[in-house]
Amino acid sequence: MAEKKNNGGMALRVRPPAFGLPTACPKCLASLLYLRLANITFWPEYSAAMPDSDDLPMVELGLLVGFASEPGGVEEFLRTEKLGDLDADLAEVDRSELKAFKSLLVPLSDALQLELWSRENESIAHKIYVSHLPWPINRAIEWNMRRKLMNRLGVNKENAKDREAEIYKCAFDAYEAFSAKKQMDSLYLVSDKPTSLDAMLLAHILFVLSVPLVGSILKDELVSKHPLLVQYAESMKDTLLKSNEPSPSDSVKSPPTSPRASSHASSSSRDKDKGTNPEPKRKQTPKEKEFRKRGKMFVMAQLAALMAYIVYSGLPFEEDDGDDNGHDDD
Amino acid sequence: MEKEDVNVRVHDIQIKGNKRTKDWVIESVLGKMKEATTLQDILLEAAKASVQMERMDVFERWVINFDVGPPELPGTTNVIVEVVEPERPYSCNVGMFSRPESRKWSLEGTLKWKNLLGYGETWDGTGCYGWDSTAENSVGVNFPRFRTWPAGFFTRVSLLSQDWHKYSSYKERLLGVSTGLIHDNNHELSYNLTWRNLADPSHRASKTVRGQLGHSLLSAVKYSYRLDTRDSSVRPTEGFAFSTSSQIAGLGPDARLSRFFRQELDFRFAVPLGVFNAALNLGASAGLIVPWGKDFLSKSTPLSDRFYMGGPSCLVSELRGPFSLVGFRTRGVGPRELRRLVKSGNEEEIGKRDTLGGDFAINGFADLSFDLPLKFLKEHDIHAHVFACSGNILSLADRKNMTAQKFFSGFRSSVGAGLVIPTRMFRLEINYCRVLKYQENDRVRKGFQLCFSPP
Repeated sequence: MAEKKNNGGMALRVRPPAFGLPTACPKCLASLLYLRLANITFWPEYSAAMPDSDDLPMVELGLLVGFASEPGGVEEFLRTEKLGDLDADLAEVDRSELKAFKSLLVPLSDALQLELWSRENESIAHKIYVSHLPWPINRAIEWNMRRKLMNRLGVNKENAKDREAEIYKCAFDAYEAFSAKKQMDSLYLVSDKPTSLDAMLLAHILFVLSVPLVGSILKDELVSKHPLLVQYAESMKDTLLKSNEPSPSDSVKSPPTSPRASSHASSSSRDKDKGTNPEPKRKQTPKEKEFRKRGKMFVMAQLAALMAYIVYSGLPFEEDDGDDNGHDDD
Repeated sequence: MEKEDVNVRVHDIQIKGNKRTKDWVIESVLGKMKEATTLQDILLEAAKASVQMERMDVFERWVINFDVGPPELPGTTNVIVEVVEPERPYSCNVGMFSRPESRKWSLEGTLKWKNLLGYGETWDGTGCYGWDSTAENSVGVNFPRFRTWPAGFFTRVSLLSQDWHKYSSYKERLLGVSTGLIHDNNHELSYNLTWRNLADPSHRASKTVRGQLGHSLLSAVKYSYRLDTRDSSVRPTEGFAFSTSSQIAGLGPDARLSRFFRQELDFRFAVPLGVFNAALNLGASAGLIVPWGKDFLSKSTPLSDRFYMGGPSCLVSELRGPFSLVGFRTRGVGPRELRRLVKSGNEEEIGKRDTLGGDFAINGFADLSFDLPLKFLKEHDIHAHVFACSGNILSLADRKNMTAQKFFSGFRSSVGAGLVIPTRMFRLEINYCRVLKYQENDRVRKGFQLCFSPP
């Protein structure tokens, strides 16, 4: 059974919302749905200045932070810090099945990114990732992100059609597998409770259905051949996309001033230096002692070299005292 | 000629010796010589032209001669300008420099090429690589005279990376273009367009810093005025200096640009005391940065543009805003925030804080310098000084709860004494400091300190 924990202080930093989705970034949407399925209370904070960062989404709880770029991502952070685990109560068999099906999400993600970053959908990708950045850096970042994605997918001008066909075939096979899995009479994919797999697949399907991608082959395939998956997503849509969280940050572009910044600038003062350090005193490690010793030797060596230079070069300091000897130039 | 005007007109201007430099570049330097009607005016214009030629710094030598005009045109003169262009118009400097405040070394190189296109311009490329992999590369071009404009024009493209990881858990990369329209001894007007990217590869930044990571674009105009009447910038004993710098960022129709207004003021005053070559130097600096635009009160200012106080600095000579506060570490003063807690990480990192900088900063100092009774020291102008300084730095977020009492009780202060070694290249100070008052979480640096500052 998934842990239910009221973490009123948790923030999920994601890319901004668009197209009726709480966040228009597919990766961030998966983490957001994970938290909602796990009934973990959080509020979304939007970060529009990092479109090309792998760190998003990130979860913040006080001084604890989980980054998507770290091993296991947000899911692993929540599990390690005992904040929530959708897969906690799975049987061993179901856990193995979960891992196997998770590998099918990779071709789905690749196909989705291929469609999103195609030339026909330039404006959609622009709106999702870089619309909050000023021109011309938004265009430069967009160009760079597209270039990196195509390099990762191995798509170039010569092999574009073949490579795209290959990617779509893998995606269609994944849809087939998920459809077959969903045909078994259960509310969720693996067990009778939502798992991380449900969060990821629902994020993918909801994105494909909600975002108006031009010439979307994935959408056509889903709608025409996999009505069960569409029905599965539609049935969960209202529950998952309706926000029960506290109000998000007002501004996407510039985050509000942090109250912590002022609270740590304490107004307490000491009139006399009583020999205590302002930061908590702790025992110096041998490494620190060695570093300090080397630092002092460095400073003394500099001083000695400078004094020697001054003494032996006879370096005068010539100052123009403005004396006018009264000579005319003529 | 001294008693009355001698009527002479310029008939023709001949330029000789310029293989690379365009004729109009040299003719533009001559100003209004062709319109002059008296010999006195012609000689005055020639003197002005000489100064301009020296400022251009692209000729080895030059001479302006006057010859009699054609016989059929009495009262005229021909002006002959002969220039010698250097055989090697390029120069290169490479050096290793140490930065005591960060205990790091850097390799710096500069390449200059003069008059490459024949417009009297100077191209320069600068590269600076630190041992901690920070780097600064820039390329610039300076036109001392741009066509008939009375002032020079310079533009510079730079790629700079700065590592503030140790103090504020972020690294900064800047790619920018700056263009100056006015640049003389007192005034400077420039426009700057910079693409900034703040990143935290170590994943340990505090919440405020995390919120500022990412890309931004700065489009700003900056105007600076500087007046320095002191007898020396290395050891001033008389006179005053005043500097003001105003910067407005967010110029452009795009509301997504970084928008703020930044103002800095510096004032220095030196009074001779008459004995032991002593002088009392007083100084005060202040700075303010505020965002502007819709809902500006709820916005925060960019980390890169805030004020940071602390680090080794020479109080007397430097005029660069409210930066100096002796006795504190680099970026050691002001609002700070706890970094991310990494449970499996290094124990030394636990409890460390990021310096966030301030939106308002103010500081002041008093410095008494005097000669020491040793002939050797007097000959080299090595002298002693005692000083006291004080400063405060605040965030705009503190304004709601701020009272006058809180403001004044938040001031830090320190005193010290030391030795000053002024040279042609820099001013070196060896000081002993004692911090009298500091705030919680300030990073104090007691004891001996070294400080270098350019003259």
